[in-house]
Amino acid sequence: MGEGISLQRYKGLGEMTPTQLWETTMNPENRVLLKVNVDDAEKADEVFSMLMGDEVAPRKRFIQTHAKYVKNLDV
Amino acid sequence: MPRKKVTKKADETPPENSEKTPIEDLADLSPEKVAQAEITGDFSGNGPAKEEKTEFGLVRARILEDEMRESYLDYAMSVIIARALPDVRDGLKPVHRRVLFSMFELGLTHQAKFRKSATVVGDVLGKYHPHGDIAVYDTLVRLAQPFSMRERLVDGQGNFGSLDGDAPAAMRYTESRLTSVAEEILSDLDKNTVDFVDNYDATRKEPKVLPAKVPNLLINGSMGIAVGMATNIPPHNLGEVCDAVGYLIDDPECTMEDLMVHVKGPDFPTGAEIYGIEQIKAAYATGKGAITMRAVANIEDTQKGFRIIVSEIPYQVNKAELITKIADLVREKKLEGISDLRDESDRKEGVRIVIDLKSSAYPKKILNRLYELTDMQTVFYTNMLALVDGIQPRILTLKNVLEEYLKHRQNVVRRRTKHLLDRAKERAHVLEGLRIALKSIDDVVSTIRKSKDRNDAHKALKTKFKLTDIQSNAILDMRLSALAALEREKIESEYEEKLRLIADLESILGDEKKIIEIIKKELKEMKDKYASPRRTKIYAESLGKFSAEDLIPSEQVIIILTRGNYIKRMPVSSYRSQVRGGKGVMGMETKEEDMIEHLVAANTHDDMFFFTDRGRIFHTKVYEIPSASRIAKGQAIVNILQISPEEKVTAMITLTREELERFKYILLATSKGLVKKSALNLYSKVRKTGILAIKLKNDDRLRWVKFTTGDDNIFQVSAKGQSIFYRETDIRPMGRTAAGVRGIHLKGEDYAVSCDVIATGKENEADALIVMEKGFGKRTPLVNFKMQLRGGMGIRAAQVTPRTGEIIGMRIVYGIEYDVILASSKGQMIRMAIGTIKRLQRDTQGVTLIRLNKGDKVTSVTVIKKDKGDKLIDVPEEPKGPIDDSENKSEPTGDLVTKVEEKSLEPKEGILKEESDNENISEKIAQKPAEKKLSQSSIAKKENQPEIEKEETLIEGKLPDWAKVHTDTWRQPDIFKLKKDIKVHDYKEKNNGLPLKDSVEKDLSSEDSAKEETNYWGKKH
Repeated sequence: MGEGISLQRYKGLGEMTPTQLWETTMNPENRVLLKVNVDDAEKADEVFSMLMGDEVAPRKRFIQTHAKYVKNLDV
Repeated sequence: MPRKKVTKKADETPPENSEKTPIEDLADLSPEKVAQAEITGDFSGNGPAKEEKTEFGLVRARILEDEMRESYLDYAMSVIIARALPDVRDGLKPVHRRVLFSMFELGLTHQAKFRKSATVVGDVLGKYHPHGDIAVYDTLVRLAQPFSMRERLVDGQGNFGSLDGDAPAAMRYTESRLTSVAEEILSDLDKNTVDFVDNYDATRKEPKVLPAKVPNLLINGSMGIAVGMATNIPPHNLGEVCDAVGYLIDDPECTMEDLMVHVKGPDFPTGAEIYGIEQIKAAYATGKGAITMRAVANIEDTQKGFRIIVSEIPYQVNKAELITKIADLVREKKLEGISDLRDESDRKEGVRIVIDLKSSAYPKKILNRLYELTDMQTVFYTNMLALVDGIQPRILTLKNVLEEYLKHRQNVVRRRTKHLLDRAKERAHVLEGLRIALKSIDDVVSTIRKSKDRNDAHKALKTKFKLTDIQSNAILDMRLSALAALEREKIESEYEEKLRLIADLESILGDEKKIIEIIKKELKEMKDKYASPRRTKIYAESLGKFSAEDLIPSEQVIIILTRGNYIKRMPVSSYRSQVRGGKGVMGMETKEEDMIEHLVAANTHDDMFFFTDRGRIFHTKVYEIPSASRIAKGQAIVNILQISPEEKVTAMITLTREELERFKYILLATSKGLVKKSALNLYSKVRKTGILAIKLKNDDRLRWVKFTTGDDNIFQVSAKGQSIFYRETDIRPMGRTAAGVRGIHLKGEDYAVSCDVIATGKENEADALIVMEKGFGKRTPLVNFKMQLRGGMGIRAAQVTPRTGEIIGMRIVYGIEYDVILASSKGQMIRMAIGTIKRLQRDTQGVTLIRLNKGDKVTSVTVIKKDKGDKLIDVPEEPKGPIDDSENKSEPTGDLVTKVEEKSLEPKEGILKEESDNENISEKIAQKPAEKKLSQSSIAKKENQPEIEKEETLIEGKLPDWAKVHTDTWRQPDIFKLKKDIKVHDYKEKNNGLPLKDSVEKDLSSEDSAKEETNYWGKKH
C-alpha cells in the first residue's frame, strides 16, 4: 500500500455515508449489477437442494471438494 | 457487498485443502458421484462472465447455480475457518481469541481491577471483531460461567447468569478481567511465539493463535455449528490432560489406551456421571462417540417416605427447564408417584432438587423413569472437529489432538527461545560496546569533545574504536553515572550473564530434547498450579446392558440385609477368622433399632432372589447390590428392587449357573412351619416388578428358600429346640401361588427358625450347626436325628434354656471346611473356623461362640466354604485350655446358672468321648504356637482358667496385675500379643498362625481410624 493511502472496510450499508454509497454502489457509472439467470431449472434445483437441503453429507462433500476455489473469506 | 479480499489467504488455502480433502473425500464416493463432481467441478473457471454496459450500470450475467455455489462457498469457508470452529492448538474460536487478546491488551489481568464488560466488548468490536456486540458479550459471559467452563477464562464480577438459564446482567453492569488460566494461554505472546496478522482494517495486528501454555481445547471443550460440519468437544480435567501430554512426550508411539490411563474421560464442570467406557473409547479413538451423562441422584429414606435428591445435573442441562419438565410429566400423569418437587439449590450446597415420593411409589422405578423421560440423562454427542494449522477442519482422535498441541508448543517454545536469544545477543552487543568505551573512557570523552556534533561524534567513535552504529549510539547515550566503579562492575557482570544466557539458549535451540523437556516441565507446573480433582464419575458399564459380566470380577462376597431392609455387599475378606468365643468385630452401623437379619455368602456373578413378606419374589444380580465397607450402613433395598416401601424382604437366596441346571425344585418354608415345593421353572421369569411366590396366611412369614433336586431330605428346626428330619418326597410339587403344606408341627408360640436341605446319601457326613440367641452353638451329627414323617412335632435338637436363648439358626455343614459368620442385633460380627465348634449330642446346650454385650443377641448365622488357599485348621485355640460345658459354668450368667450347671453336668455317653477327642485336637493346636515351651504353656492354661473375666482388662490395653506377678514364668508377652492380635484378627497370617509383629502393625494401620477401633469392641453400645 502506497504512502498516504488509507484503507476503509465497509461491510454493510450502515457503514457508509450517503455520498460513499452513491459513489460505490448506486451510481450507474460505477456500479455492477448481477443479472442472475436460470438456464436449467432442474440443475438449479439440484444445487439448491445440495446447498440448503436437509442432507448434510452432499453439502460437506461440496465444501471439501471446492475448498480450493474459495475467493472471498470473511475473517 | 464489498468484502476485503484476503488474497494471500485464499492463495494459501487451496494447496492445503486440495491436496488432502478432495482426494480423501472422493475415495469414498460412488463412481457416478465422482463423475458428477467432475462435471460440476471448477465453476469459477468458466472464463470471463459476459458483461454489458447499459444505462443501469455494468450488467454482468450470472448463471444462478454458479452464483449460488460461489457465494455459498465463500460463506461456508468463512464460517468454517474463521467463525465456528476452534483451533486445535489453543482451543479457541476467533472471537474467543479476540476477546482474550483484547483484555490482555487492556491490562485486565487476574490481579487488575475489574473493568466494565462494555469496555471489553467495545474494544473487541472496534479493534478486531467487526460483528455483533451481543455476540461478543455472550462469548465473554460464557467464558466466565463456572458451569459452562471447566476452567474459566474470564473472571466475572456481577450477574453472569445461572444454571437455570437466567440471563446475565447487561454489559454495562457487569465487570470482568482475565483469570490466571487465561493468562497462561496468553503467556509469552510478546516473545514472538506466534504469527500476527492484520486486523480487518489493517490498522492493528492480532495473533493467529495463542501460545496456550495449557491444552485448552480438551480442557474447556468446544461446541460449534459451521456449515456442513459441526464440532462438539467435551471438557476435560486439566491435570489429566497435562499428564496425557506428558505421557505422549515420553512415548510418542503410545496407544489410545495408554493415554486413557491418564485421560479417563470427559470431566464436566457440572459433575454428573458418565456411563459406558466403550463410548468414551470410541470418541477418543475415532473422534466420534455418544457419551451418556446422568444426573447424580440418591434415594433417601425419610420419616415421611422416600425421596429422590438430585445433586448434580448433566452438562449443558438447564436446571429450571429440567424441573419444569418433571412437573409437566407429573401433571400429564406420565410420571406417577411424585408428591412434591422442590428446587433447594443454594450457594452453599449447590444443586439440590428434591423429589418427594408418594408412600406407595417405587423409588427406583421412578428414578429410572426420570432418567428415561427427562434431561436427567442426556447424551453428549462427541465430534472432535477442530482446525488443524488454523485452516483445515479435521476430525481428530484424542491422540491427534494431543500431538497437534505438542507440535504447537514445540514451535512456541522454539520461537520464544529464539526471541530471548536475539534479545540477549542484542544486549550483549551493546554491552560489548560499553565495555570498550569504559576501558578507554578518557579517549572516548576527548573524541566526543573534539567532535562538531552528535553525528560527527558517532562517526568518530565508530572508526576509532571499531564499533557498530548501535554500539556507538549506546555510548553516546551513556550517562556519566555509568563511570562510577560499581556501575562499571555491573556492566561487566551483566555482560557475563548475557553470555551465559546465550550459551544456554543456543544449546536449547540446538537440541529438540531440551525443548521437549521444557514443555514437560511447564505442563507439570500448570498441573501443580491449576489441576483440580475430577468432578464427573465414570462408570465402565453402559446403561441398558448391565449384564456385561466380563467387566465385573468374580469374587466371593457377603450380602447383608438388615431387618430395616438395608442391604450391602462386601468382600468375604472383610471378616477374618477369629477365635471362637471372641468378641468379633463391628459388622455395620445399623440404623437405629435396626439389626442384621440376613447374611448370605455369594459370588458376584450369582443370581440373587429376594422373597418378601407378601410372598413375592424379586431377582437381581449380586453385583448390582451396592458394595460397601464393613461398617457402612448399606443402601435401602428400594434402591435395588422395585418393591413398595411397606414390603419387606424376608428371605434371600443365591443361585449359580451350575445350580440352576442341577436343581429342579424350589422349596419355600415359612415361620409357621409350612413348606412348599414348586418346579424351579415356574420362577424362571421373575419380572423386575416381582411375581407372587407363595400365598401367605395372615402373619406368617416366608423365611427360607432352598433349591432341591426332588430326592433330597429336609431338616427343620424351631426356636424352642424341636427339629424334624424327613424326605423331600413327602412334599408333592405345587403351583407357584399355592400356600404349601405343614412341615413341622409347632406348639404354642414356637416358630420355625431354620430349614435346610440335605442331599440323599450325604446324611452321614452332615452336621447340623445350631446357633442360639445368646451366643451358644454346637454341631450335632445328623445321624443323631432319626428320619420321621413330615408334619410331626419332631424331636429335640438342642437344649433351649434361658441361658442359651432360643435357637436362631441352623445350617447343615459337611466336614470342617467352613467358616461360620455370626452377626448380632447390635452389629457385632465374628467369623470362625467351624472346626472350633464342638460336635455334641442332640440334647445339649453347646459352647460359647461369641461373647455378647448385655442385651445383645445373635440374630444371624451363615457358613461359607473356605477358600482353597486356606489351611484347614489354622486357628489356634485360645491358650486358656479346653472349652467345654464346664467352662461355661465359670461365667456368671445370673440366677439361672445353677440349674444349667446341673443339666449340663448330666453324664452322657458319647459326648464325653467326643469332647476328649476335641480336647486333644485343640491341645495340639494350642501347643503349636507355644514356641516349644510346652510345659510353660500348659501351666499357662491352668493358670488362666479362672481368670477368664479378667481378660477384659487386657482389652483396655493395659497389662493386668495377674500377668505382672507371673512375668518370669508366665508367657506374658505371648498372651499379650495374642490378645492384641484378637483385636486385629490375624490368625491367617503365616508363621503357623502366630501373629507377627509386623502384621499386627500393618493391620492396625489398615484399620485406621480410632473410631473403628472403638467399634471393634462395641464400646459405642
